[in-house]
Amino acid sequence: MASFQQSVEAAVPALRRYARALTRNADIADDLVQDTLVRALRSERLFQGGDIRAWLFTILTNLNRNRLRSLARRPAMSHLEDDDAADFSGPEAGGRDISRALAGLVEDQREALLLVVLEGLSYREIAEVQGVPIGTVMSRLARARAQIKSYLDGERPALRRVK
Amino acid sequence: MTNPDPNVTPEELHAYVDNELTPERRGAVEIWLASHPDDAAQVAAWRAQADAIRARYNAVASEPVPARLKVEQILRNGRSWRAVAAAAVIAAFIGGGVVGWVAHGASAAPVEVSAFERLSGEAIAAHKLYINEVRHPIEVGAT
Repeated sequence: MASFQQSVEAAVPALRRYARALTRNADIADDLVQDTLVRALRSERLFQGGDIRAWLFTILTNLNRNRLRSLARRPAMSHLEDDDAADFSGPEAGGRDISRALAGLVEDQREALLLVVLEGLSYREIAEVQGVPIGTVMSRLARARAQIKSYLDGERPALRRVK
Repeated sequence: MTNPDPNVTPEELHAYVDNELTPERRGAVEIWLASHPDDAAQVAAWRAQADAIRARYNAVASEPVPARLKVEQILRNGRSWRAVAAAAVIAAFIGGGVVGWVAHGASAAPVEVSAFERLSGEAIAAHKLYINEVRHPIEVGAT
């Protein structure tokens, strides 16, 4: 009982890191983490065992997808939130940094890449988080890496902020 | 076993970067990369991406955790949130009954239509006010 709460508590820094990279906005990221914690602590009985981190990443990923869905209905808002990447002090001033490259990815590719690279989840765990076969995870990773590479190499694909 | 397939697929290159290969396939990939500079450059580029992502965001995990993300704090708020939710359910039930009663009266007597409209207008206003709170349900006070 107490160890469940301790495990949740211990995962908070990683959840914040993942949420921050996913949304590239500190406030939105912490809102997501807070909602994730509220749900996780309320539904302790639903936790089937296994890796609690993967379970928490699943909740956070789904909450973020819900957020983006409701955002898509109000497209005017989507341009305001990207405070990490949106450094518009001239076209080359911000440079082609990694957060801009991440911003250009489709959401499910960004999730897969961040979970493997930043959070060290296995392909199998990511497949569970995203609810897809491992093969789908691998093709998402491949597409994410190809797109980031072409972006950093100087090609300029149309930024896709919302899926 | 002593003679693994020397051919390496693009999927295996990703799995190599992500430490998903068996030691045997890992060895096969390393041999492959030694004689395939294009693939070796590809792998190096993916590793550089991963390093850049970690360099950019790893520090977030070392920041002090804000008070509102402490488990203790959330559990404390959760109890009052449940009280708010219970009150909201009861209010919705009673409100529904009142609306139904007024609506019934309105259909019987057209004079009462304005009262019904006023009530539903208030309900819509309340809905618009509180629908925005979905994101921070636990920040809504109990009183």
